[in-house]
Amino acid sequence: MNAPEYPHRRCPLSAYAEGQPTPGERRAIEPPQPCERDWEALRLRLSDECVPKLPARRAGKWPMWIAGSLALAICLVVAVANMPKVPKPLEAIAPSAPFDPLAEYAVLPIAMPEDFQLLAVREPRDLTVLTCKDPIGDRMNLVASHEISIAEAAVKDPLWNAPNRAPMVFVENLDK
Amino acid sequence: MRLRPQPDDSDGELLALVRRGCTEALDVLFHRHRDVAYRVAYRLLGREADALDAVQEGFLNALTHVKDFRQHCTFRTWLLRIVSNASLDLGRARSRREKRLAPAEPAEFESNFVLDDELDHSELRERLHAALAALPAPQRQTFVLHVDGGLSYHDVAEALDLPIGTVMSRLFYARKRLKLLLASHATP
Repeated sequence: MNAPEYPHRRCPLSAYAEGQPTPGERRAIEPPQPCERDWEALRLRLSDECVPKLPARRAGKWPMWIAGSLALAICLVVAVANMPKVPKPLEAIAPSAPFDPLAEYAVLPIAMPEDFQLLAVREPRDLTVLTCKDPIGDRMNLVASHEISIAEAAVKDPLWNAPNRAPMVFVENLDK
Repeated sequence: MRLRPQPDDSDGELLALVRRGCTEALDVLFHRHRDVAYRVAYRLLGREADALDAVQEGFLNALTHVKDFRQHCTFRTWLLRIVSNASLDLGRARSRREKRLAPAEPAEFESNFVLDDELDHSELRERLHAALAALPAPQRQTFVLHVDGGLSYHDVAEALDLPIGTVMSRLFYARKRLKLLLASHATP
């Protein structure tokens, strides 16, 4: 038997072997199709076999979950309602302290005018001696001459006559 | 929550419904993929009844293990992998059974094959099946998944869990051998 020539066509088998058959070539070697009755029988078999095995049956457990959650919520409400009431601890209100720039320094005792009594000085004009260094670094007069009472005192020490040496005698405040 | 499938639902959406026990979604999936699954099974087995058995086996395995589907590939790729494996298993079981019943004879090709419009399609199919059956199983599976299953090289590699280079190599040797087998019978 001689092969007829089909110059415009490929053999469907060769086309298949090349891996890229055209739709027409594919049709020529298409498998025989099962009839719809066979497909339907297969579909029914799948539904019967698969659906009961599917995990979707767990959907039937929803009511159990809902009932469990509801019972838990009721228990929580009852427990909270029966809890003894504890008064709220009062919050300590911190007094608003004024800003103190010297908070970090030791507080120096400051003598008031009534704490001292100047008994006697030779030259009252130079009486600017009751001073001390304040923490800020400036000199601060603690008392002025009009704030103290001066009385006669016996001066024995010759150094008291030296210039710029104000002779002073401090004694405890006798009026206390 | 929707419980009825729509015609344009993706495979992923249908699978989600199937997982919730929706038989209608299962039917849509079945109608969508049955033809390609059957074509692959038929090419690997060469008989309609066996191919239907393999399709059934494949769908059953795929749907009862739907929770194992990790969606790293498409459902079609996953299904075709299962169907092709089931086909090879059925084919091996069948040949063992046939060997017990009768001694195997090598398949014979007609040497005077001619291409004719009137040539019976069943004859073409038989010759194609004989040529495919002469391929090693891994080459046959790879080739059929690509040509009849319509899977890309990448999809075949994912379906068979192979490097893409192995897929290309198998396809190359399968084509070469098929051309040789079929060309020798396509011309007198």
